[in-house]
Amino acid sequence: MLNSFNLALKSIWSNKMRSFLTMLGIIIGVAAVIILVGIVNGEMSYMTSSFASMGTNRITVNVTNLSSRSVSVDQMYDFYSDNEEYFTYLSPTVSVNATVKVGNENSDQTSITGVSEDYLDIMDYDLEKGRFIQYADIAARQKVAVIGLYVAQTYYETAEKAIGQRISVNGTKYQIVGVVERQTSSSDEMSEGGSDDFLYIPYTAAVKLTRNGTINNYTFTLRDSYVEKASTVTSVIEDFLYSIFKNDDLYRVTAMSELLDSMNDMIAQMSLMLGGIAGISLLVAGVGVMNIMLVSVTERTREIGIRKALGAKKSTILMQFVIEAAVTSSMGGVIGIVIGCIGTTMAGKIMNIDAQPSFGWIIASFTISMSIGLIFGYMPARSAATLNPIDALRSD
Amino acid sequence: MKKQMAEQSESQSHEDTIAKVSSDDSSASVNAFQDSDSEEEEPDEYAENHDEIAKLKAAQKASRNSGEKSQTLYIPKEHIGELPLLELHDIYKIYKMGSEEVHANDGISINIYTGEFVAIVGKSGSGKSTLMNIIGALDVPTSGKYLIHGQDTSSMSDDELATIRNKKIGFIFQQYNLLPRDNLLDNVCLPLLYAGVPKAEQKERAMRQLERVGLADKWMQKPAQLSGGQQQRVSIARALAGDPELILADEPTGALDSKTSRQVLGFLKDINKDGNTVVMITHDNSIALEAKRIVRISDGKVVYDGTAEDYAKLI
Ligand SMILES: Nc1ncnc2c1ncn2[C@@H]1O[C@H](COP(=O)(O)OP(=O)(O)OP(=O)(O)O)[C@@H](O)[C@H]1O
Ligand SMILES: [Mg+2]
Repeated sequence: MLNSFNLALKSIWSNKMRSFLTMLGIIIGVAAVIILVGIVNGEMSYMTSSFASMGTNRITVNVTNLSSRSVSVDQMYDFYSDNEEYFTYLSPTVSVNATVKVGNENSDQTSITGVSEDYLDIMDYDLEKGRFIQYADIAARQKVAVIGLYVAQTYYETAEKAIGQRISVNGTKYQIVGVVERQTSSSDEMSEGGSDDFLYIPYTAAVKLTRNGTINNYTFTLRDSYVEKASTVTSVIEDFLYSIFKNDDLYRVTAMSELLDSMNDMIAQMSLMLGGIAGISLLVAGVGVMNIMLVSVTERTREIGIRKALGAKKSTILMQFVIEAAVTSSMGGVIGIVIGCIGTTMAGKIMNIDAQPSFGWIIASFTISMSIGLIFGYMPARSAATLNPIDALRSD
Repeated sequence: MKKQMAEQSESQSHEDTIAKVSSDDSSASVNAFQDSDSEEEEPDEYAENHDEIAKLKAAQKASRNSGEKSQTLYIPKEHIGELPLLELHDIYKIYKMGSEEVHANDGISINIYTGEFVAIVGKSGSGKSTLMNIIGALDVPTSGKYLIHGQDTSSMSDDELATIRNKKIGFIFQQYNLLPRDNLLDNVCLPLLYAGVPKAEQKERAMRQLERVGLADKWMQKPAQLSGGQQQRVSIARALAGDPELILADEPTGALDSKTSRQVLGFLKDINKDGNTVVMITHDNSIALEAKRIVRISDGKVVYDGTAEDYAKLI
């Protein structure tokens, strides 16, 4: 046993090229699998987390108001207060297409949304400076605005200086009462049209800026106890809307958590596909290893013949070859794992995602490559070791 | 003994017929044991010399008939009454090539005793290597009995045969058969390694053998870095390392020039003087004559088995 082990190590060492090529196949296979899985997992968790930050407790309602059948803000608020057990907040959201002007400068990319006093809580934002839109502003259709930090810094230098200034929307002046905290992640620059380039005004004021003057979008937030049961709540909302519209094509109720579920399904499918790709790269590596083992079989058959002629027993020879294959492929596997882990981290840094090697795949790829090495190291050796020594010697 | 005698005379008469047929029609000398494409330009190298064979056979027959009646096989005088080291009884090795059968060994019976130096001679394709492989337990005969130290090899398992090869036989191959990637010391260590000798002792004993063949200073070199003669000396060292009773050499000088051939022959003679049994295979009569005893093989049969002196007189 110890003998076979020594012989195997010596053989690996004296056949550096062959051992290296065998290992290389396994290294590439294992490293490829680990890096691939790491990147895709990182990408997926990035997607999931950015999706989750959109708020899994939200339900958005989108209606198509007709002149004959429509739902008013008051009806919506009545429904909201009748079903308080489900909801924490409600805000109409009115997207406005208008020109924002500060002094003579146009700010084309700034998004304008008409919202209620709850909107800050719905978005789970905090204020940098000032106050948010209040119920009184809405009731009185006050021309007040809350702006994103990008707007504040670009046109007024600081959030502090922006407070009290006027900003013009389609020519109407709005007084800035508050600035929302930075939303862009700290590693990125704030940019035009980005997550900090926005303007909130009371929805009552915003409605005046839209073409048909109706409110088509609402955002509810669910109580924590109902986040998991979002579909129950969606059907309550749908029932309510159906009673008004009598046609389920005229409204759409979307729970973010359900969207997240379907995205998770998609991600699961992607991982499955990924598994397929990883499997193929391991297979390719395996075929490479097999080739090298088979190509060297003539030389090895002669070697086996010599060893048998000099008195080596079949079992001793097989042991040597099995250990040799095991050591080569496990060394290749370990190097592959190290390279794979380093590669994953580096790729994660470059792609700016949190890519991490997956433990399960490390084990799986290691086991598979190890078995490939063992099988293709052992099989040719076994047939050679079974030969008469003289037949083995004669092969060339 | 009676039965053996009967067999002997039977095969003898069979051989006579063949000898007659071949001498009648020497132009049609193509037989199964020779390369059919052997070129006519070099007849003395590859073609069998039928006159010589006939003479050898006649001499054998005469000595068997006139000698002690009980003797069916040649036994060197000094070994009469001893237990043979090797006993080959009616060994056949038949290769099937499609529908054709090649009798590479066609009923060979010889006894070899401890301390002998036997040369097995014969033309190319006569079956020398086949015989050596059987003697070396590298191959098994198609039929016939082969005993080492009175033990029948046919009943032995693969592993038992491996042990016999390891402990009792040292091989010197025409092609050297050194492991190309191991250094000389490791190559010489191999038989000891498989004998389970401790590492330190392996090295020491292997080194002693390398010294004996004059290559101790090159122990860390690879076989490819040596000349043919040097490689053959390494394989001699390897054959001797395990201290086997029998040294088997197949054309040990086949790939060497005459000077290195002499040197290798010298080693074999020394080994024999030290008490080892040496069986050497060669196609070259002049080299065979260095041995004490010569077995001449033709077409897979023994046509002469006797002392080197008698053989020298006949050819
Ligand atoms: N493995 C084999 N398969 C088929 N035929 C074989 C095999 N080995 C040997 N033979 C045949 O048996 C015969 C004897 O071969 P062998 O190698 O014993 O001759 P040899 O006396 O050693 O010749 P040489 O001097 O050329 O080495 C030859 O005709 C050869 O073709
Ligand atoms: Mg030969």
